[in-house]
Amino acid sequence: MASSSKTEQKKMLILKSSEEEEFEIEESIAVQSGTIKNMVEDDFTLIPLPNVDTETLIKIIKYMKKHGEKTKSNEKDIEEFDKEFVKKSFTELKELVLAANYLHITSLIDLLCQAFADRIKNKSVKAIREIFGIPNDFTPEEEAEVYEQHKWAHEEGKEHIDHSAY
Amino acid sequence: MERRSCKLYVCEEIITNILNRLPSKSLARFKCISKDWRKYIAEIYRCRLQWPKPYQLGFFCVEKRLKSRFFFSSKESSLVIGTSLDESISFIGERVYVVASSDGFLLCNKLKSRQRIYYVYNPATRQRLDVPKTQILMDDPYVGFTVKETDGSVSFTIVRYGVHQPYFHDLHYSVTIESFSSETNIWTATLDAPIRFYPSRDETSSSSACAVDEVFCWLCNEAHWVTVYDSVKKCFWTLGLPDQMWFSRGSGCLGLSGGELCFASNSGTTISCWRLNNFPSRDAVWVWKYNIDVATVVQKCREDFGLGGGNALGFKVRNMVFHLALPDILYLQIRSKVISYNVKTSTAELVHEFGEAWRKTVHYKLFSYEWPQWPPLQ
Repeated sequence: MASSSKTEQKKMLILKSSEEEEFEIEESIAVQSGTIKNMVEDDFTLIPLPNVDTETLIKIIKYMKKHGEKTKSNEKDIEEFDKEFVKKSFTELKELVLAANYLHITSLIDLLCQAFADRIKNKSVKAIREIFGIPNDFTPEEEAEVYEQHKWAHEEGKEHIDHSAY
Repeated sequence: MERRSCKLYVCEEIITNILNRLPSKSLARFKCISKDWRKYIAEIYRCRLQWPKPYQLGFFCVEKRLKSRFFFSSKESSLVIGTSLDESISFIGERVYVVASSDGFLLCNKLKSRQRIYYVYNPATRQRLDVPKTQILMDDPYVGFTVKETDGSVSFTIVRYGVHQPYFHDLHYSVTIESFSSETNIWTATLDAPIRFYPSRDETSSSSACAVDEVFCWLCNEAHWVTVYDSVKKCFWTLGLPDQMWFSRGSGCLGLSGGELCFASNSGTTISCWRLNNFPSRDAVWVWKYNIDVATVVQKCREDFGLGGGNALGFKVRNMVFHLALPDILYLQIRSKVISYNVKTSTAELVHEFGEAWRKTVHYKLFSYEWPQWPPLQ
């Protein structure tokens, strides 16, 4: 950092979770979130996040801190971090992706969606419904029709079709 | 504050983001999940339909007559087909090597069959069609292969002619040309077809043709013309090339892009690209389209080449292939990497790294592989 006659004080923000817990974070790191950036531009320093619980917020802050210090030399390091970051249960990933979406952190949304895609790619219809909590709104006849049209896709091929919801 | 239940409702935007990263088999299966998911997937298909046709999926790469391998030409293309492509062509069950590709099908030669046994193979559906043995023995023939789809059924034509025993009489050469049509299922040979110039070929140039409506074209790399065979009128003719000065020092490539014949000539430092107007009429004329500076392309990918601020001298372009649908994109094989260069946006992208010493990649032949069909829309 270039030195100047006055030492620059790093601007800090406070993020507040839905459970009213507060976390201090450098503004330069927090603005990776588009939502937070907008609030900062409107002169907020205390940022209430009623849609994000404490546990999830802690993870998101960890992500932003790691990605905030991105340089040419630590790309591999960050890749490793991202790989480990997504090794979580589907429930945790869902909480994270909803929070990342609300906070508009594009790189995190992409990371999480890719993780979802990689993990659900070979799963069965039943497993997906369970993971995402989706009710089946087809009648048995309708469902049979859609199944028949794409029968090849339900058959075991090179990839094994996985029925677990984890 | 009450914790949310574990059955979280994930919004449409995120579901679509996730679905867009899945291959077609997964998407087809997930249509059964719910009416909403069926709707989201239909929307994804609709967007993908706007991708250019033919959709360039990637390249089969063949080294001399050894095993084939495959690589995708973009991230999206791997999403179309996922893992259901038989990339090593091993499912065909014979030891083969690729000699031509057209419309999602490959023409393969059986190893050690003295080039007399061919298969037409679809690596996506794994269907194999055995072509009857050729009538004539030819040593390393020029081959042409074209597939036509009409109303759900597929027909194809294969032509082949040998170049090592032409004989000269009455001021022209003669070659024997053999052709096969899936409609008749037999090989017919035309002996002594007159051909004006002696077709010659070096090791690196391609023996497979570009075909436009049953008219096949081969580039004579050593010489300066294109040999054309009209399989309907059953005659050969010769098409001159536009850029003879530079061509004599470098290399060239002929290809189809957006249904039109294109030619690229590489002088070592510059690549000039031309498109043929009015083909297959004999008054076809080459129109210059653009020039590419090789050093500029290498600079744009300098990190991929491990270059610092160094210059790009000595980066020989081994192979050039036109994008099947988009005339502004050219694929260049430089050293042991394949780079795609978009002339319109001046952007270069690393498509594939062979991961081998570049000396080994000198004889690689690339065959464009395309996905001609989309999953049927519901």
